[in-house]
Formats: sequence, structure tokens, C-alpha cells
Amino acid sequence: MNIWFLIILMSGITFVALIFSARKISPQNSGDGEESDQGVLDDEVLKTEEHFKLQLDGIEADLKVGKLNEVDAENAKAELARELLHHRALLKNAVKTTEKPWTGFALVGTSVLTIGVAIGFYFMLGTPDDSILMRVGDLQQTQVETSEEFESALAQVEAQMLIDPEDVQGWRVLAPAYIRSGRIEDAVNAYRKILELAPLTPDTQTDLAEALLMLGQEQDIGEVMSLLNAAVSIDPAHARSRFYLAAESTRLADWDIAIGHWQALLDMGDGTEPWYATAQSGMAIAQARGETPQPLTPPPVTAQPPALSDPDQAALIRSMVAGLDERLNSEGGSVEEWTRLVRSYTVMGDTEAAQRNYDNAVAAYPQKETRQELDAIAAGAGLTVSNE
Amino acid sequence: MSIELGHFALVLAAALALAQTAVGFLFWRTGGRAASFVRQAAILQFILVAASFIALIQAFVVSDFSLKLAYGYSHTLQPLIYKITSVWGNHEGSMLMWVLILTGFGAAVAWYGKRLPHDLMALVLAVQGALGAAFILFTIFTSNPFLRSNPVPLEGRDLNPILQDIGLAIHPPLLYVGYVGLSICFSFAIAALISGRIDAAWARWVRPWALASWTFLSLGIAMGSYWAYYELGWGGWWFWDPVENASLMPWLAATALLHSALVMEKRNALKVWTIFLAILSFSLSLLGTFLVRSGILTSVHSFAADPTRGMVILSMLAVVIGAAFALYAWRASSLRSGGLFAPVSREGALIVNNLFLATAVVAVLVGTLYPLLLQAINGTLISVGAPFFDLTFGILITPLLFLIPFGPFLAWKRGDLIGVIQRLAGAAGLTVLLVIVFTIIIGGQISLATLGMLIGVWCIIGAIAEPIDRAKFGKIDFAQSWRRLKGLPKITWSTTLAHVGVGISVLGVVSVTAWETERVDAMMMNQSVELAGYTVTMVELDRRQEDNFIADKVTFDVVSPWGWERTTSSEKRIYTASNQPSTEAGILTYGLSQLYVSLGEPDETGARIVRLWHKPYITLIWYGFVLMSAGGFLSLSDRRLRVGVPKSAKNASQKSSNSVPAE
Repeated sequence: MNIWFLIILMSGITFVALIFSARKISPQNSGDGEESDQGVLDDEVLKTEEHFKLQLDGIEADLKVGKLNEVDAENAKAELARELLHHRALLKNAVKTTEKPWTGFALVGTSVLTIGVAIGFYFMLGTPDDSILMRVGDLQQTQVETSEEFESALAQVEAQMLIDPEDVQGWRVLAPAYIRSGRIEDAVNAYRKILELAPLTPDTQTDLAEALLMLGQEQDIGEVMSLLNAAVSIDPAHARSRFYLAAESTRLADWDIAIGHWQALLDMGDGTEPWYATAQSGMAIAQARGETPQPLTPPPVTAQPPALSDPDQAALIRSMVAGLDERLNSEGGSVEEWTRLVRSYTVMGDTEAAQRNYDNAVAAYPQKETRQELDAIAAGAGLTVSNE
Repeated sequence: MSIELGHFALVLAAALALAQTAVGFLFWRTGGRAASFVRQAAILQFILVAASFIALIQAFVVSDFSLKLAYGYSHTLQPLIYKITSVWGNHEGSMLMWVLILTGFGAAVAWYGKRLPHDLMALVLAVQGALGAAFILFTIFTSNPFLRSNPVPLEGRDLNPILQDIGLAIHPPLLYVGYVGLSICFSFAIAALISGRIDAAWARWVRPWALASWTFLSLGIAMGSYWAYYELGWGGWWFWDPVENASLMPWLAATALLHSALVMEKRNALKVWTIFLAILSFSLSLLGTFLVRSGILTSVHSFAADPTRGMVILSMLAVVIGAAFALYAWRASSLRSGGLFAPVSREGALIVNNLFLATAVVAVLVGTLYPLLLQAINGTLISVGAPFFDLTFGILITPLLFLIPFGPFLAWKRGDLIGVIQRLAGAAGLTVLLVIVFTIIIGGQISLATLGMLIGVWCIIGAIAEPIDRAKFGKIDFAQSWRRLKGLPKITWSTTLAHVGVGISVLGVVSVTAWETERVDAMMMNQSVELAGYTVTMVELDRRQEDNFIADKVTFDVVSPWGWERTTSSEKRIYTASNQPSTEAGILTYGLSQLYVSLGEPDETGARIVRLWHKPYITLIWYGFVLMSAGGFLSLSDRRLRVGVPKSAKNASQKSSNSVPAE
């Protein structure tokens, strides 16, 4: 229903109610318990008489119990009588009201003005069309093609954060949004702010580690591992941090540690989890000390790290990786970007995409010495590495 | 869409309030139609503000963070009750609640005051409309609760953890009903000054509103005190905080108003003073609003730290109070003086009561405002704390407490003091005896505490003595006395209840002040400490994660001096959304006393700092206030006090044969 229709309806009811109240009241039949002036006067006289009667009873009672002597009681009664006479005289002259002939018009005019003022104020202050409000949550789930709208929303949140940089909820909104728009460094900073402002939890630690992994800087690996280890030490059953630890240990060829993490992860699952097959593959690779093992199960196409902090965030990461994939394969990119892409797919457990992109990277950078890090990651993840 | 409809409803209510004011002031002499118009406007105004308040609650309940206020003070993981209370756990929402109650009182006058003279009705509602317009426009233009958030955040920022308590559901509404109810007395006072109509009937119309406000204010203050006591973890029940004082001052003024209105109703005297008190009481309510919302104080109550709002409220305060007192100065001299009375009389006793209460208001006002004024004038920071208030307030209130039992025994117009002393001799003897026995039992010596106990017990026994005296126990046949006792009017019982309540609160205050014991220890697991005969052992430390907070919960076994074993726990919480800490105290009640445990931070050895208090008879403080309020409600239920409800002739004639007249 249109809001303006409801506003007009509300105004209309108010207007009618006001006009109804301002109708001329007949002194004989005022309706709804409304008293005419004479009626009120009569009632007031009645109540006053009753009040003075009670006062008189009080004096009599005081006299009876000895609180007042005869003389004082007589004086009190005389004073009461004077008060009563004064009050009667007052009431007699009290309600001599004269209604002006134009009172009715004035009241109708006031009613019209009231509605006008209200609509004017609301027009000035309200947001009748609330569909213009941008919902960050909705925007995060839209496709990259709508990036212009998304960036505009992002800018508004950033502006809010400039006003209140201690707003942890704001950083929580911004961090995944930065990942979605490919601003991984900003995402890392946002996750760092969250760690600073919010209580330390395995999720917040793993979020930062995840963003650092996406950034793909080798010098961050130490921090990533310590964050993930800290998360696991707080909650040994935290599957997501365990998954990343296992994957990174595998990539770094720390086979025994990797086996421990993969095993712990497999113990947590019951085989129905989307990441379970990837964990099995990882375990097989670690047990084979990096030799490509016979696959236990076909590698899942859409395996993902377990229990990302929320589904939106997982979708964002996939979306970001897909965006990078599309750009590198259509426009090309640096060997570091190819390395980041292959690492992302291996972390996500999508070995098929990782292998395809590794092959494309080799085609783009055929000299082996320029892609040493890429080859190392590919080998660690069990991909077929080019010897050329 | 409901948010926008709520917004429009509030704006429409503002326009209605303006119309109500204009019509009320311009047409108050013209009779029924204008009065009917302002009545209708007052009722519609309340319905619209209620609708906007419901819209606000709905946005909080469904966590609609497109409402900026819900984003700022709510969270999806909050339990439903706190989502609702979060609506008024902030400046904007609490202003709307203030306005809701203000318009509610206006509508109540319009609804129940059908039999008020039209001129008075029009003027009272015009003043009420002006107050409504001022506060609604202030809300809309400086504190609009319906502002939207764009872009819409995914999650809210949560409410201050201290406010995430059932106390927020009870304390502010009760207090606001008290504060805002005084606006009706104010409106009646202004109407009386304008129309020149002030007499016993006026006092009869005003007294129920003053009584209702006072009753709710008493409950609100008591609830606030108990909430601070158990929630802040400091173990205190009153801190003389400026915001607490801001609620105490109108309460003291309203107490004086209640008593002076009684004189006016019964004796048609103290008119000018009663009008003054009606204006003063509401002015002090407004002053409290200014202190809380101007940002000049730092407190859990200080929602707003916006100087613009502070200036606007100060201006409103200046206009409302200034205009009211200017009108008072202009018109008060024209009011006809009432009945004469001797100094020793019921009227005289009530004047003494008013004198002490008004002086106490001034003392608290000076202590509260002086540091603020000094800081504003020359930047000097000073603190006027508990020692000042304890001393000045104590000195002023002690004689008043001593005189309380005398008032109801004195006759109107001219009392017999010797006779009253004779009639109270038994009560005085019993009081002294009880206090001596009590002092011997606790093995104490004569001290200030004994004097305090004496005064508390004197208030209680003196208050009970009044109905016993009126029923003539021991003077006539017991059955006849019993019938007389049952026939006493409700107002006698309500006076007795209220005065007994005062005495009980005094006993609580005295005992906890004199005999409270405290210790602070760094406790390890399974370690025991002793306090006032209670053995407290730390038995369990548990870290628990709730939806919106993480807590360290420490459980204690407590063995009382009588060997009873009980368990309590205290928590240190961190609210995850806001990262704010809070303490949940563990409180065990033994009869009227309490053992209070408050958990602190761990020290470098891993031990937890634990504060323990034994608070003898502390619950009497709040029970006393509950009794006072019960007295207020009982009095309100008396037909004689209800506006527009004349006693039916049939009942009146039936009752008059058995009843004892009201004094």
C-alpha cells in the first residue's frame, strides 16, 4: 500500500475527529457523557455541597473526640458556612461563557491548518520512499557487474567510519566488502581493526589470516600461521582455522604437522561436509610426502574452507577469486597475481581450477626462473608441475 | 513503511499539540465547543504518539537497522525483552517515551475530566498542549528517533551492557510517569493563575494527579536505587549522583505539594504556596531532564553529550519556568486568602512539614548545581559529595521525621499540643523500650545509630497509633473499636501506610550505614574467607559464551552463621558487539539482610579480586518505599479523590451511618 495513501488516510481520520468534536453541542443532549456548561455547573455545585458536608462531619467528629472544644467548633462551623456562601456566589458567576459566532469556523480552520502543518513538516523531515535506502547486506550478494552501485555504498560506509573509527560493526561490514571489491590490503586493515576493537575469537583471528593469505605476501606467512595456531589453541574444534593450517602446512611441506591437522579435521567431520573430500586429498598428499598420490575420491569442484564466518563471506571470496581468474585469463597479469590465483584455488580445494590456471600461468611465463614461487606452490598442492 | 508512518504520526501529534495550545488559550472563555476540541486533540495526540512509539518498538524488535536508532542501540542477538527496552535506552527513544507519558496524562485529564468546568479544562489542556508541543518539536528537530540509516548496516552496535537488564524495563517508565505526571499539577496551577479560579475544589482536582505522580516517582526512585545497587557492582544504594538528586528534588517538592494540597482541600488555605509548589515540582522535573540530557554530566543516565540539545533544553527550561514564575508573581497577589488557623494545628504541622521539605530541596539543589555553576563560570572543578549531602540533608530531615506522628493527631484549625503529647505518650514509651531492647540484643552502645533507630521506630509506631487512637481501643468496647477501625476512611490508612513506610526506610538506611561490613580479597579456587559470620568459598570458575557476551562466572558457596549452605555467583562480562565490560553481582538475601559478592579482575598471580559486603537490613530501604507507594495507591482508590466521580447518593447515605469522617 502506498505510504502517501496511508498518510492521507491518517490525516483524514484526525481531521474528521477534530471537526466532530467541534460540532455545536446542544445544552439538552450533549451525548457521549459530554457536559453542557449548565450541567458542569450543577455538578460542581453538587460536589461542593458534598465537600462542605464532609468538612462539617469532620468538625463534629473532632468535637466528639475532644480535639476541638465547643467554642472552636462553633467558630469552625461559622467559617465553613462563610466559605460555602462564598463558593456558591463564585459558582453562580463562574461559567458565563459566550460563544462567538465564528468559533466554529475558527476550529475548522485550525483543523485544516493542523493537517497542513503536519504534512509540511513530514515532507521536510521524512523519508517516504524508503526503497532508496541501500542495504549493504543486499549489495554484498549482488554480482560484480553492479560494482558501481556497490562502490557507492562502500564509500558511504567508509564515510561513516571516518566519523566513528571505533565502530567495530562498521569494520565488520567493510572487511568482507573490501574483499569483494578486490581491495585485499584494505580488508586486511579492516580485519586488524576488528581484532583490535572486538574480543579475540577464533573467527576474528581466522578472518585476518584468510585475508592475509589472499594478499599472497610470503612475508606474512609467519603471522598467518601464528594467527591460525592461536585460533586453534582457543578452540581446537575450530574447523576453518584447522583447514587453513593443514593447507598451509602442506604447501610449506611440513608434512607431519599437515598430517596432524588434516587428521584432526577429518575427525571433526562425518563425511558429509563439502570440505571433507578436500581434507582427504590433502591428507593423502601429506602422507605421500608431496608425491602425487592416487586420488581417494575425485577432487570436489566447489570445495571450500569449512564454516566461513558467514555464507556471504564465502561467496565473496569465491566471487573475488573468480573475478581475478577472469581478468588474468582475459587481460593477463603479473606472475605474482597468477601465483595468488593458484594459491587461492588450492586453499579453496579446487585443484582442477588450480591446475588449469597454473598451466595458463606457465604459458604466460615460460621461463622457469621467473615462476619459482608459483611452481613451489603448485608442487606443494600436488599439481602437475612443468619442468620446462 | 511502519517507521515512516510512525514518523508522520509523531509530526501530526506535534501539529495537534500546537492547535490544542492555540485553541485552548484563545477560546477558553467561549464555552463547550473549544473545550471539546482541545479534549479531542489531547486524546488524538496521545493515540498518535502511542502509534509512533509502537512503530519504533517494532523496528527494534525486527532489528530493522534502516532505523539509525535501532542500529545505534540494538543488536540482532539481543533477547526480545532487551530489544524492546533498548527503545528507551537512549536519548531519542527515551524522549519519545517522555512525550508518550506527557500526552498520556493530557489524554487522561481529557478523558476523566469530562465534568471539569469548561474554562478550566480548556486552560489546563492548553498548557499541557504547549508542553507537548515543546517536547515533541524538540524531539523531532534535535533528537528525531525516526532518522534513517543509509546505507543500511548489517548489524547493530548493541546497547550499553549496564542497561541490558530488567531494570530498564521498569525504572525509566515508573520515573517518567512520576516526573511527567507533575506536569498536570503545573498545568492546573497555570490555569488557576490565568483564570483566578483557585479554591478547595481546585485542590481536590489536583491532588489525585500529585498523588499519582508522587507514588510513581517513589517507586521509580526505589527501583533505580535497587537497580544501581545490584547492577553497578559497587554495593551502594544511593550515591548522591546529580542525576539521582535530579529525581529526589521533584520527589521532595511533590511530597510537600501533596501535604499542602491537603491543607488547601480541607481548609482552603495555603493557596499561593500550593500553586508555587505545583510550579516548582514540575520545574525541578524539567531541571532533571536538562541535567540528564544536556551532556554536562557524565553518568550512565547521560545519553546525550550534544551541547546543541543542551542549549535547546536550557532555553525551554528558561521559557517554561520563567513564564510560569512571572505569571505567578503577577497573579498570586490577587488570589483570595483562605481560612485562618492557629500555629499549633494540623495546618501548622503541615506547614512545618513543607518548610523542612522545601529547605531540603534547596540544600540538594545547591549541592547539585553549585559545582556545575562554578565550572561553567570559572572552570574550577569541585566535587560536592556524600559528606555534604549526608550532613545537610540529615540535619533537615531528622526533625521532620520526629514530627511526623504529631501531624495526624492534631486537629484542624486549632490543635491541643498537650493533649496530642498525652495521646502519643504510649507510642513514645513503646518506641524507647523497643530501641533499648534492640540495642541490648546487638550488644551495642548508645550512638548516632541508636538515635536513628529511635526515629525510625518512632515514625512506625506513631503512625500505627493514629488509627488505633481514632478507633478508641481501650476506651470503648473492643468490638465497637474494631468496627470503628474498619470504618476508617482509606485516606487514614494510606497516611498510616506511607508514614510507616518512611519509618521502615529510615531503619534500613540507619542499619546499613552503621553496621555494614566489607572486605576485599584476592581469592584463589577453593579459598574461603569470613565476613560477619558468613563463610564464602570460591568453588568454580567458568567461562561461558552467550549470544551477545562472553562471561567469566565465578561460583561461591556461602555458609551463613546459622549453618545454612547456599550458592551464588558473580560474573564479569564482555559484550562482544560493543566490547564493553560489565559486572553482575551475586546477592543472597537472608531475611531482611543481604550478602553481596562482586567479582573483580584477576591479579598477576591468577587470583580473582573479590569484594564482599554484609548489608544488615538493607532491604528495608526499598520495602519502605514500596509501602509508601502502596499508601499512595490506596489513597488513589478512594472515591473522594477521584475527579469527576461524585459519591452516589445511595452509597453515601448507607456509609455515613458506619463511617468515621475523614480528617
